[in-house]
Amino acid sequence: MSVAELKKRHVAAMETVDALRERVKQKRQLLLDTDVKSYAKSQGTTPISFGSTDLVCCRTLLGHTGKVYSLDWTPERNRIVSVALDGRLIVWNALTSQKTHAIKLNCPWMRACAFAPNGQSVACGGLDSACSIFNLTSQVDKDGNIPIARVLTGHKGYVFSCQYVPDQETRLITGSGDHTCVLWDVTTGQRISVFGGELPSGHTADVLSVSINSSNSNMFVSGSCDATARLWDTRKASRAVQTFHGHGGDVNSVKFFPDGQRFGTGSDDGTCRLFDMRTGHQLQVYTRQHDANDNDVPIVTSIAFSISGRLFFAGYSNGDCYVWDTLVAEVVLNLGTLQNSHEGRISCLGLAADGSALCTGSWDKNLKIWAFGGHRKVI
Amino acid sequence: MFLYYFVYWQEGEKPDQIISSKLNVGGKLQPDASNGNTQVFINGREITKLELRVLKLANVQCPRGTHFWVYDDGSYEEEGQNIIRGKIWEKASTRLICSLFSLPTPPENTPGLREDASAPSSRLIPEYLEQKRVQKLLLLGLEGSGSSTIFKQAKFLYGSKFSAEEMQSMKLMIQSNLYKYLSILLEGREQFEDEALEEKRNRGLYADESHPSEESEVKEDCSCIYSINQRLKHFSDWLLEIVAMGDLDAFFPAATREYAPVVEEIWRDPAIQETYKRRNELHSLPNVAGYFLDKAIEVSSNEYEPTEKDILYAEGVTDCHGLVFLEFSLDDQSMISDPPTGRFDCPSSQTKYQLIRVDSKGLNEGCRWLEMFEDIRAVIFCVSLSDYDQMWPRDSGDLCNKMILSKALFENIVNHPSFQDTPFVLLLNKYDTFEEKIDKIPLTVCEWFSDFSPVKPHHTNQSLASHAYYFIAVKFKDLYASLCDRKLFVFQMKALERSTIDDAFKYIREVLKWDDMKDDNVFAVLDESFYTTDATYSNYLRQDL
Repeated sequence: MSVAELKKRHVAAMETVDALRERVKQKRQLLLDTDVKSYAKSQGTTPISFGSTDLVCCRTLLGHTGKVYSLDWTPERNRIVSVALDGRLIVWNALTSQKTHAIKLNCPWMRACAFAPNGQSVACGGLDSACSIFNLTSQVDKDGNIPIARVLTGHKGYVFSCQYVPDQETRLITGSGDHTCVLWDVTTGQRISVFGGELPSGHTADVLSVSINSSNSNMFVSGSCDATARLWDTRKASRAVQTFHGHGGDVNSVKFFPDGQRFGTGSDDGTCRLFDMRTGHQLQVYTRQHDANDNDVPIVTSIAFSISGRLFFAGYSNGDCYVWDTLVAEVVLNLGTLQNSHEGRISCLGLAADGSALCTGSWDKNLKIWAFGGHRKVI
Repeated sequence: MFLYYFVYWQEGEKPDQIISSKLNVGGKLQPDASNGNTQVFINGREITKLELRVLKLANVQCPRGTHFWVYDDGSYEEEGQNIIRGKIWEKASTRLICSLFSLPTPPENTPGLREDASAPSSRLIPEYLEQKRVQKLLLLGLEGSGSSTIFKQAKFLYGSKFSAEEMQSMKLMIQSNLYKYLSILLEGREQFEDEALEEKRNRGLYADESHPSEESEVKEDCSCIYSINQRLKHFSDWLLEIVAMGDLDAFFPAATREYAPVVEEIWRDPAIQETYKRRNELHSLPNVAGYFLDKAIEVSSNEYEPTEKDILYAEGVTDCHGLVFLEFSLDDQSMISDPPTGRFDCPSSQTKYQLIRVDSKGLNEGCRWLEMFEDIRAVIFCVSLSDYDQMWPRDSGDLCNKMILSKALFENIVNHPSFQDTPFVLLLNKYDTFEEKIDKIPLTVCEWFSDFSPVKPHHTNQSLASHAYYFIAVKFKDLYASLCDRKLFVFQMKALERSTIDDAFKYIREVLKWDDMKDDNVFAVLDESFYTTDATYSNYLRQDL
């Protein structure tokens, strides 16, 4: 078959795919008879009462001299790792605010950091198109720096997100500007699987965020500049399990819901959405009240669920940090209006493993820890 | 700590009186106490433009980002440096100017103890000291514009040698690129073969019309100048398939040595040479392909060590498209902007630069990481002059004129919110290739230049190339002026010639100096020719240094 003929057949095939997609979309709209909010209201659910004393800023972590881009908690013990534009990877003791490690990085333009499940290593990645691993227990060198334990190279684009696989010390997933996600073996530095790329069903733009299902670590979801989120099975890299459309802009953040059956997303279009893994339906859209004066809708930079999932936290580019009631789709608190709140964009946030505290990182160079106060311990 | 310099002023206004920095009043001076926006700090306070002007008139070196510490008697030093630079109000003229602008001056005789300059414990050493005075430069441009060549040249000129890892990375890049070039040629060959056979078939049909026969089948002659033998076709199919699947890096450069003889054989095959002749139609084949394919055997061996020329010709700097950066220092003195002061004993100061080169691959419209560079001092945008007749695939896959794509990228970067106040330097590269081409291929093949109508050459003593160069420069300058209210700096170069790189960086140094001065010095109006330079300007530079 000649090249010209092949091209013709390709165009025809793409048209068929597009037509089928449109039919799927329409069928889905027919089936979607309600959303979470409407259903909850019909059952008489009322918004959770959440006052300004229920979540207070109890620590401000000072030390970074550049915008904070990413943070991660340890699965146990209360430690946080953060990375900022000052080229430093800092490990904090969340209870005492002390820094236990301040690692100077070769490349200061970092976008992602993660704690290993055993809390002994940290990973970070960014515009060097690689993911560097540091062993916190290793000896410092003569300059007082921790040497790099391993560098994971192979991405053909910048690394925007990384996360260790929860129950496996040696595996890590990255999301990159080369449109792929990669599952790495940290001990050998080899790529185990590549998700996307030239293969069909992969993302068609930069991957900004990944989230691994803690109930089933074979599944993970990725969010991308192509305005979709995709669900992957690590055992089958050849194609995505499902693609979730709906957002009107880059998907900056994805997070699995605590029960692992659905996941949330945050996007440049200013909304957060809840998607169901099994049916593929968009269950709910969380839209801010539009400020009449403001033409620019603040974008959602990061999200996290509370331990039960009843609440979720969304950080915005204007410094707001909304606490949403997931069921009723209403904002119950804005941490951005509280005392001691951040003075700049919230770039990242995360919940401690036991759900008792939220950490937010901001372009104001600080991190803040918010704890549940009053009679309420954890939701 | 309790360090005040000026007190008794209305917050947000210029200072009223000088008080000792040792007074324990009130606490640390707020940086925004005077609403200054000069990025020059005195005792922690960002000073106003008026004060900055006075400092400059007093011959104080104060580029953006400088933090000074001033003592009671007017002596000053850079924070944390413990070296007194001089006294700000030493000269009578400075004191006079201060009084003209209603700025305070210290009293003539300061009684009491002089603060011990060698007691660092009484002052905070601020954290920005690490990044003090490093002028960051962002270097970028489309693939093939020369940005990676410029980076590598700068490294050879000013930086340390390439490390073993960097050399290894470049070697692997060169080796795997060999297969990339080959796959482009092989795909082109297939396409040309299909077209040639199709044409042959058509001619055969017409020929048969005059001799109609019962046999409807035309005997197919399956060979043409683009045909290769069965064995090579096998390899070609395999290579093209792994490229299509995105698996090229799974095989290469690992299998480079094994397949080297095949590469050589294919490259020398007449069919491929015929294909290579039509390389103008093979849009993704870079100019350097032939250079490396000619030395395929050498490049593929295990012992291969890239020569300096190989390094400069190779596409990219690292094999993973990550950004690269380089720190170096240049002397500040130059005859152009600093008039002779008669002070030959003062040491020439140096400024540290950090050159950051980013790959163009990630630079699309919704770029997610460019904001990490909002603190850079200048954007150095590279364009290859010889791209005016080249085609290049857009993100969507369809082809577009490469110069138009450069223009679009330029617009995206200029409009990016992080670079609102950043000076841009446009490097128009590959002038030599451009010079050779311009007489044969008119500039008007690029629609952006469709209004180019040069005056007949014998009326002027400017060459057509020179004329065309200025036309392109003006096009970019007009575009830039329409996007923001600043002027674009343009420099002509041939990145493969190291001297032009050195000239380019000296030019950039001058641009930064002027950018520092322009806010205060009304008389710092540059000669129009400074904005657009060519080889003659760089000659001028070289004579005086």
